[in-house]
Amino acid sequence: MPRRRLVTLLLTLLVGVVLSVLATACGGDDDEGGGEATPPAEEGGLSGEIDVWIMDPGNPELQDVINTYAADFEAANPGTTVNVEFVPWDGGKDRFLNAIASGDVPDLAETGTTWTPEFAELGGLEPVTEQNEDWLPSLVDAGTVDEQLYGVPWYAGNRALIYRSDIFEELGLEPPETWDDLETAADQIKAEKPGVFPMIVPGDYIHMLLPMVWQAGGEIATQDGDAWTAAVNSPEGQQAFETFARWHESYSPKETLNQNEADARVPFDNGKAAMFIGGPWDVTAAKTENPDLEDKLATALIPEGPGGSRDTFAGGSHLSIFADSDNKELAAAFREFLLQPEELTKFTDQLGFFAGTESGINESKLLDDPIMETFGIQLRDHSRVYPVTPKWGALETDPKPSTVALQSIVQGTSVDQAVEQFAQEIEDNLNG
Amino acid sequence: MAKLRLPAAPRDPELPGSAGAGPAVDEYGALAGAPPREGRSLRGVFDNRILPWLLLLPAFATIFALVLYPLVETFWLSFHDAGIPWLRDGTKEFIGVENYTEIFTDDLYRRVFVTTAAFGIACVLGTMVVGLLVALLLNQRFRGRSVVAVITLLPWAVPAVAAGTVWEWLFDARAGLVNHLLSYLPGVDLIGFAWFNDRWSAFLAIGIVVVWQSYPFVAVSLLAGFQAISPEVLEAAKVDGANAWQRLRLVTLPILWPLVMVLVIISTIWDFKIFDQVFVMTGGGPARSTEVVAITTVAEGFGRRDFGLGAALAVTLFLVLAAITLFYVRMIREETA
Repeated sequence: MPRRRLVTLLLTLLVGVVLSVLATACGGDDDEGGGEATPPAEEGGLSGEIDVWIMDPGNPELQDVINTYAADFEAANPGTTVNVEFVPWDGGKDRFLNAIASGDVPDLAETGTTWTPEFAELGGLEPVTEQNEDWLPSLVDAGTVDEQLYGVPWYAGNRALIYRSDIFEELGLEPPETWDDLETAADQIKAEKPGVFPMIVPGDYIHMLLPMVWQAGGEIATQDGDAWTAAVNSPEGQQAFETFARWHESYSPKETLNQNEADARVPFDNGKAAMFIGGPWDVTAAKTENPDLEDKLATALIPEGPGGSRDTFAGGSHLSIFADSDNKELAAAFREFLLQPEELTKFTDQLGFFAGTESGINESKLLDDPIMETFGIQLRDHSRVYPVTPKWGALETDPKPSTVALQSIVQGTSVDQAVEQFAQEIEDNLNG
Repeated sequence: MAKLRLPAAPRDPELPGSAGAGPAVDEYGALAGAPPREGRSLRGVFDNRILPWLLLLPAFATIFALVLYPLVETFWLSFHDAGIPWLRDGTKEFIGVENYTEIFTDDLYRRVFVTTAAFGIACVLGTMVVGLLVALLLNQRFRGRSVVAVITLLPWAVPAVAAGTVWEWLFDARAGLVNHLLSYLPGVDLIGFAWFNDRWSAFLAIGIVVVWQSYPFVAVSLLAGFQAISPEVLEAAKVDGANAWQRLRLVTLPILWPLVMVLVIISTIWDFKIFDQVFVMTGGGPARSTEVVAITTVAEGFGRRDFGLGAALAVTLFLVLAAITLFYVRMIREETA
């Protein structure tokens, strides 16, 4: 009975295939699990393996510094392995949220200061038990939920005005002190330097847009007990959005409407734009991308808005250990290593960040460099933070409500209506 | 799902080979060595009743695990308020039809569904027309036909994300080939024109990519259909004095109508749930103006982690597509009946 045998044979084969697929799938899991599981630490010594996620703003130097850290640490602690993975800021938060939700987390990671409370509230982060006078208070506050700290301050990062000193000199311009100055300078550049965009104003750039509300004299939201009330829908807030939209339309390439700052920066890097609100990492990146810009960049404080303020957003990062990590001891040791002043300054001086510790700032040579000094002064004298609440993160999730409001103004929605809708989103999200 | 009927085993003793003289053939067509009576007993029951189900089991298990279970789970989830805690430990709150109320009352979601339908229909029309023209072209005999055929079919092989990325550059405001070529036209200066700033021009650009990627399938299918029509029929029409356009409209297309309908159904389903090209080229922006349902579903479900609302959006799209498919299927049945 050849047919019957054929059927039997096919069935056997089928079962075999199914079983082997199942076995492979399970085996794959086992292998992965095995790779992450760490042998118990020997007494007094560190061992095992950790995964470390570091945010990458698109700078090759950053990766070099971090990879050196990992190599140095492994050399000093034989038997340990530090796997570094670089995560782009754009879409980076999604990676973390998915990791927390699935439990497949890094052991140690850099977490943006506005993300830390949100990750902590989700139960993703290990509480920080120690306290240290050396840590910068503003960064400690930013990482605290219900009086419990969840990330150790690593560095502070903030933005200022980056401009082309050669173009300004050629046209006899001074760096703008106020919004009005900025418009005068930009108009002159537009008239006299065809082919150069006066300023890059990307439609999707929350850390330029929202501080303009402060500069105009307004607030983003105010807290009363547990309830948040939106404050952007004030005349000051409207003025900020209206001005930003106008600057975008008058001074920035049209296609930057739907771009974030990292994409929109390209014309500036290529020498085709005169001004850009950015951080120290943008200065280093521009010089790396285009060595011609080496001695043509200068920085100034953010121009003062009609509210008499030059405030920018005091951003930065924590180093956080994840609750689901299975080698917290090694993660903590690597974090401690990164925070030693002499190690910390390798990173901050190279990238132009300010250390998250007082000792690190004192050790740093940044303030000797006029370009970097501006960022320091901006941070010290003219910076503030967004509302500190785990709910804030929702407002930085794409599609960002502030970005939607701004883009819709450029597309023709009235400022009044767009800002009102943003205010509604703020209240829904912060109180939700 | 249509009711599945297993072919009944032939029991009629009159059937050739099932009884009487000659070699006995069982229902699988195999020669039964044993006398037929024995074959009807225990082993017969196994062969007739159990074996078919055993053979179908893997397919059923796969369909259940990959289609039915996720579908039911998504449907159930769409009546809940579920965020990250749901992923961590399954916590979710039953809120009835609230997610659906939001979809049908919120301006944004309503607009997204209308946009998706309009854009989908436009893409289906474009795909069918271009596919038909290409099929007609390839149905002619000319030198180099096979080369042309291969080239016109190539876009089909390009992954959607790759195509989106390449076309995004082609449509780039300053560096893009499209703007440079169009600017050669007298009186046109498009250098610096940002296609993706405005929803109309953005959807025009995305639509071109979608049609560019989906016409080859339609063209190949129609070409196969053309070649299956017997030349005598067309010859007869020609003798009766029908011109080329009449032959296509009155003879070829009516014969191929069921095929055309199936192609329309498939294209409709593809184009209504379009995601990759939009995601790559605009991400739904600016100001969410180029969002289609699939993009909104991901933005709400996985971006803002409102999994319940995301599920409700997905279910709504599913129901719309199911309704459209049913409508078409009924139309085919009536046409062919």
